[in-house]
Amino acid sequence: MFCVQCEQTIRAPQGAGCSYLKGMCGKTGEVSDLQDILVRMLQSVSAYAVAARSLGIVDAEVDTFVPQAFFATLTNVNFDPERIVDFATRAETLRDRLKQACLASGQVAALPPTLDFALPKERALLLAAAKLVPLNRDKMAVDADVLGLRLLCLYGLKGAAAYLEHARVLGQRNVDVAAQFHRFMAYLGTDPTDGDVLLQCALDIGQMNFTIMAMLDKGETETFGHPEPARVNLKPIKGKAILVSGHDLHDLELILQQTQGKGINVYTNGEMLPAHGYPELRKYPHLVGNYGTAWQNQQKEFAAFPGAIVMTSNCLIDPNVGQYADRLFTRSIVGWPGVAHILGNDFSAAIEKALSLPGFASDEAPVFTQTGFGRNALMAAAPAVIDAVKTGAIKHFFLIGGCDGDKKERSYYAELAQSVPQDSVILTLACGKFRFNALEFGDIGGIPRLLDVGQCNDAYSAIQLALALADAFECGVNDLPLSLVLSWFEQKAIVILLTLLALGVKNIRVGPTAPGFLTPNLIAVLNQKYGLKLITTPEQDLKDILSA
Amino acid sequence: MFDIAKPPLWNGDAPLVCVERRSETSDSVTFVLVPSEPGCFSYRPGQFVLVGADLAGSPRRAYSLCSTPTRPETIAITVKRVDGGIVSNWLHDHVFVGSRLKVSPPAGSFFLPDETLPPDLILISAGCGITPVMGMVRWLIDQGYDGCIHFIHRARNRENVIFRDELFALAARHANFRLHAALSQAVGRSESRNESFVKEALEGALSDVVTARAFLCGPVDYMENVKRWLGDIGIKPDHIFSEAFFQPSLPVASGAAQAFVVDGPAFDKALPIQSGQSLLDALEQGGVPITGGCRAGVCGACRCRVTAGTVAVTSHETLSSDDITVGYVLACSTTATSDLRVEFD
Repeated sequence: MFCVQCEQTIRAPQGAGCSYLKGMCGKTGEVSDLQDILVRMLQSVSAYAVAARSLGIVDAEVDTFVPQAFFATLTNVNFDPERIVDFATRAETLRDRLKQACLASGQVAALPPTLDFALPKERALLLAAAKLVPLNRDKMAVDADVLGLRLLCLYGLKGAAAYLEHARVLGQRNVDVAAQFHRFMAYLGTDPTDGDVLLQCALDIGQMNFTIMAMLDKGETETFGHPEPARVNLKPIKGKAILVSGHDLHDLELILQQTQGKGINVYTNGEMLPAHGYPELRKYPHLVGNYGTAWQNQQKEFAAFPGAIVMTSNCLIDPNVGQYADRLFTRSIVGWPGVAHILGNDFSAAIEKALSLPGFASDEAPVFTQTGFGRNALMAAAPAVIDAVKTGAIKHFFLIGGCDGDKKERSYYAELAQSVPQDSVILTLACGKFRFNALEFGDIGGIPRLLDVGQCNDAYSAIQLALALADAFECGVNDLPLSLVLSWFEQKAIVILLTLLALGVKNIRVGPTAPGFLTPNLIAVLNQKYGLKLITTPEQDLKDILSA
Repeated sequence: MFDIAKPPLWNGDAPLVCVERRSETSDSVTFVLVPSEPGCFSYRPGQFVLVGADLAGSPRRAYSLCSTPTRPETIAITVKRVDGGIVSNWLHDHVFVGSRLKVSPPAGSFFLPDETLPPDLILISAGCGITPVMGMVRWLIDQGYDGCIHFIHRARNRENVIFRDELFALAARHANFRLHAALSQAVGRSESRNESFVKEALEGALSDVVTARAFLCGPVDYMENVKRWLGDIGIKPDHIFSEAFFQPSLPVASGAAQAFVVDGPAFDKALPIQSGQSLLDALEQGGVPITGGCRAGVCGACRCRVTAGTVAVTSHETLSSDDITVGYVLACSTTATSDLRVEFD
């Protein structure tokens, strides 16, 4: 087993990474090894997809499948060895199909054997094969910095794959992006060793992801309307209940449609909270509020939830701890052994389960937060915001957001949000918002001091606002009184960081720790080129930011 | 029927509240506890909890759970008042219905295994060592265990048999519950005479000595004796599991650490290990080659096998029930409750 992709990875004197019997996320060594085989097989598929494109052959099924299967290896997504084997087997079939087409043309040669492998049918042999494909397989032969850059690219590409899949679900496709994705995947499959080329590749992946985030934004706004500021109740009300977690707004819509008139209240959880800002979702009166906070609290929060739970994407962690596995349903690429998985668009199993459970016995006193400050709302507010900056009513903007997690050091983000000067505005997004979104921040001339921009992918909206402000003030984004202080946990956050760096955003602070796959050298290089730094204490960082 | 949503598992954070206090004998009391916030308990029959007394130095003492996890709304401990015992006296004098206690989550490696149980289970205890095996008996009865439970207990006299009425009722109601003898140190009977009496009775009653498993709890010297005569009648050494009860004069206090010793085939010399110190820590300090990974009971890097002695364990991640039965632990999540012998793969 070797995995070093998430913020929670083991940091030991002998090196970073989970490499024993179980990862910190709960995935077994077996699942991790099978995921490595899947990744290698996907690199093989992409290599043939690139070759096939040179012959004018484009396979839409392959273009869909590769990012989707890659998403299944993202942190806290799929813990089921059988599902991973299924993905790998399907990948092999698609690879062989492309390979046939390429070889038949006579113009394309077969791949080298290390990439062009067949999956052993027996599980014991398959797991033995896994020993040949860990991501640090050539660590003795290659510079640690090169390995680190390869992983930065691979994990960044994984985040991009996830967003590409989210966009596809909402009907957005782009053949150029598909081609580019395969090129990156195939390149990483060659185990490249040129550090400069790899660093540029990482930035190119970030740039591609900017296009992907635009696609996802288009898919969401065309399907559900532009988000508008909306109040969301964070406390439950009496009645039967179903909880929708993950990121997939399309699934939420299906559930809202299928639960109409059934006497079931629908709650969002975690990253689904921004759904309340979309008019086409908000229109359902039985979408009553948000329940729970960020992903790391789910074992307690889901255990206490008296209804059915649907997990549409990351983050999923062991449902057996809270003993709610029998009322949990997974979707899409998500999986946990023994947990019911819903294929197709029929949610009756989850709905029947919700009806069979007691629901909340009474209304709790409501507590409200606000969400829905997507790019349209921000652009509409931009003239007022620009005025406020010109008059000095708003002196500084902070973007404090990103993934949440367990570590107690993450209290930094709540402390920082509460310490910023009264004449600053905070933009937040992703599940890091739950550290402080139930607090009162007030407003500046009617502009709320805390603006929840949306999910992690809605960093796109935040970037659009920054570009609009830079335009209005005729300066660069880095000259704005804007400071990004981000928290990260998994690979979507990594690719968003790459996107920001590709757009030239400087002096970003990240935490609570540096990615385990970045060597001290690489961190120094990113610091030197982009001013990227780690968080220290709220007092020190705020002082440095405001005096800069 | 109703599918009642289960309350969340109690994780040790919320204090427990006493909902019932029952006198068992003249000097022992059972305290029945529930969490102070909605919650239920999950543990294995035979495990223990550490209970804190609200006194200077916050002394804590380990008490075995005499309750069964098949009834997860409550746990119960039975405490014998001991002469000069700091915590037992505090509990007897200060804990009544409504009192709150600070208690650690259930832990320990002395419990009935998950797998299919053999047709004979021998549960042997002395004095307040009866508490964990009583938890096991209650669990077995709830589970409808259809093998034979051979229950052997030693106490000073009839009046000092904790759970006496319940034991006699079980013997009367269940043909497969054999209360061989509640051994009394009655006037005129010697220890060895009692021993041979029980040994013969047990030998005659076992249906399959080869698969039989024995669970022992009591003072160390008593258990050494028992292990010897169990061996005499053919019970295999690796089918005998025991938990030593602390002498009442040595409570587990957070201030006063006890020192034990850990050694094994891979060791140059025996190493000290303090009570409360993790096995991983003690091994690393002693220069024994062991890998620490997450150091949090998740990754499985520090697995090793305890082949002698007793431990308290807070995580079983990556260990199968077979592993656990033969003594595998995660060193980072293990503390010593006696001298230990440890081996590595």
